[in-house]
Amino acid sequence: MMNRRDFLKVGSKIGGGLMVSIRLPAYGKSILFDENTADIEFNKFITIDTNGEITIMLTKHEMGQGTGTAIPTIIADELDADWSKIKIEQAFYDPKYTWLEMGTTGGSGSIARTWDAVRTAGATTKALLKQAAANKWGVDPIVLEVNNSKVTNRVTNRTFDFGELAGEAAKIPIPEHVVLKKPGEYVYVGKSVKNRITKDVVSGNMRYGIDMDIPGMVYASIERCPIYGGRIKNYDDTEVRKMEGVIDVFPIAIPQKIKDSLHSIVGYVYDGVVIVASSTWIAIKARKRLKVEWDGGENANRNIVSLNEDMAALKDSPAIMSMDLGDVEPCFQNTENKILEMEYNTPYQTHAVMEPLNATAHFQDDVCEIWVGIQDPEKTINNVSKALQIPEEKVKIHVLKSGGSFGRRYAADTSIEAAFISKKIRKPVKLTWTREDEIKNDHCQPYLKNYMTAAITSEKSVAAIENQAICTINYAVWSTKWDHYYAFPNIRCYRSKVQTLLQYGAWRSVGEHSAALSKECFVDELAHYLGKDPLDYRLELLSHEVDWGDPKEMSQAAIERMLPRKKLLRQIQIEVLS
Amino acid sequence: MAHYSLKINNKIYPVHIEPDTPLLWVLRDKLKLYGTKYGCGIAQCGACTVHLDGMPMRSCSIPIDSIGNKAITTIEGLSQQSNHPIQMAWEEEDVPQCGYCQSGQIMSAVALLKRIPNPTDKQIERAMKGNICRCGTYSRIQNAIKSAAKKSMD
Repeated sequence: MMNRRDFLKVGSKIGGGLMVSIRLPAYGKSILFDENTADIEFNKFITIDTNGEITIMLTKHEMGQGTGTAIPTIIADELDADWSKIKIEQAFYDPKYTWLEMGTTGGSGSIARTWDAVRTAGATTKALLKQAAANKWGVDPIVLEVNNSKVTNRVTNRTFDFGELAGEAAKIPIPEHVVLKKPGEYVYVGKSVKNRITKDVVSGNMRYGIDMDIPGMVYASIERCPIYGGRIKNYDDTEVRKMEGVIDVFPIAIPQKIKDSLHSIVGYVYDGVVIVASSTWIAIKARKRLKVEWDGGENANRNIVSLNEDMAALKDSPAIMSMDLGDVEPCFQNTENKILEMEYNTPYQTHAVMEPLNATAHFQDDVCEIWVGIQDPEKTINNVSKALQIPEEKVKIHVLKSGGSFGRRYAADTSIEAAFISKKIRKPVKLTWTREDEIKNDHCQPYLKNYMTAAITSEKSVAAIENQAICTINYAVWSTKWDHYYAFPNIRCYRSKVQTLLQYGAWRSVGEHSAALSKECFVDELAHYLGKDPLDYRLELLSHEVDWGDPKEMSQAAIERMLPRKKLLRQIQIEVLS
Repeated sequence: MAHYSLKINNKIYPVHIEPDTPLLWVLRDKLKLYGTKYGCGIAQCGACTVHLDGMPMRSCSIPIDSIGNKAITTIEGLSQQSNHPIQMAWEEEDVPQCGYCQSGQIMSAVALLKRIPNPTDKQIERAMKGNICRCGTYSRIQNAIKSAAKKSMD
């Protein structure tokens, strides 16, 4: 359990009131406040005004997943605050805060990973307010209760509003221990709370990244190389330059040496020709008059048919064994056993985010400001700085809301492109990808071909499973013992990687759903073959102890993140099915 | 470039622009009315739905030159205090998830209730099928339309 003093700090709000600063640990690794370091700044995570208004800084990217409402409800709950008095503000990304959890929104873990810290922050703030009331009345806090932004003295029945206590609370040191609520005591957690964005959505006032507006900004669209890994050869913009409203035309082609220094997924930028115009429409229209010649590179002559052939050819080639449990060999060699084999394909999938990809950038003096809906501002800053060859501290990211993301907005490509254009033209620019651009140049869900084979005994029980995963990334369906939560006595898994045809990236849970699809469909096939009810059969397979492996042989990340999640998943699976 | 005088949300906006510019980009890039969203540009998703003389239209596919004197209504002009019955029903049902498609959904729903004050499930489905929601809020959309219809009937 972390020590509150390591990550919470209390202070006065400018103009009166209480301010509680927080530093969220990244995967349990918390960086300590150093009181002596001058550049430590209060990050005003929770502030309470003297009028009782509470402001919670949202450190996560709201993209339709609801985190922007959910995390504040957790804090409000521990704080016993009046939900109607809570304002939610998007935190500006600043690496100076070393606020590691803020560096990324994703992995389906925003709540799980901030849960302890934000609850403690909420409960600590409440403890400060309670102590402030106790000081004012000269009573023991034990006689006080907190409810709906009010502290009540149970003996006298007098109350203080949070606002009346905020100033006093700011002078109290962080308490050593705070009591967190038990599940039965929650007011908002686990209850249906209305989405905080609803009001702005229905009035048309909700602003997403694509709605960013800077006075004097111009608009850009990019004709990108249709082939992943391809490069620009040459282009002819004669016809484009004749068009009214076209401001500038130039190539975007990051030199290979710089390209190699960027993150291969997050920092990948397609070569292209940029058209800057007086409106998005003209920029899009002008692309049709552009003549570009591409060098397709090693993917030039490949297509989905040849990729399928490449994948099928790997089926009988040597592969990496990712898991070997028991002994499958005799089961498959035993001629009395029936062999059942299935092939599952999870093809490339695009994100099709409802809000087309975009970024707005303004390069002024030597500072590049970017306004974008982004899941990973930290990596974006890093990749923009490398791509543009400017220091990281000269890149500022404003995180805006997104109309869907599903992993796509991890990528820094739109930010790099917009920053590149603004640096070149020295004007604020909004870059919008067309829907076609997004489909054509997406960072797709990797393509997995998964072969599942079972050896079934004459007594109708599954003796062994063999799995071969062939994927466009290095991905195994079963790579660790704990992935094997169904009780098959012998399992052997292989994986092979084939050169990808399309750029890939995070898409929903990336491998998990492809794996689940093949595994669960195959369990259905087995149940059908064995003449068993698919649900009963699953419960039968789940009714065994799992060998979770030896922690000594696991990475820290596996122990802290993967293992607890797998255990929880298994528990939920059993609860849901039973 | 040509001059146009557009009637949007009961206000006149003079615009100087290329005649083939779709209404969507005039609203967004020139007039900064950002409530109307770009989704696909080819009238396939409904995110850009506005009203032309009360009829729901995909603003991404209407050249500005073809509008003439028709009155344009966008989400911003639906009501003064976002208190149109459809907007209120949307709030009550808490329809949006990411919210991006919802201006278009609301504009289509408003036009539907104007035409058919008390639509059946089938009529709602038919009128709304051109509006895509990537989050899948369709059942709440259906509920909100029915509840708005019921309230205006009472």
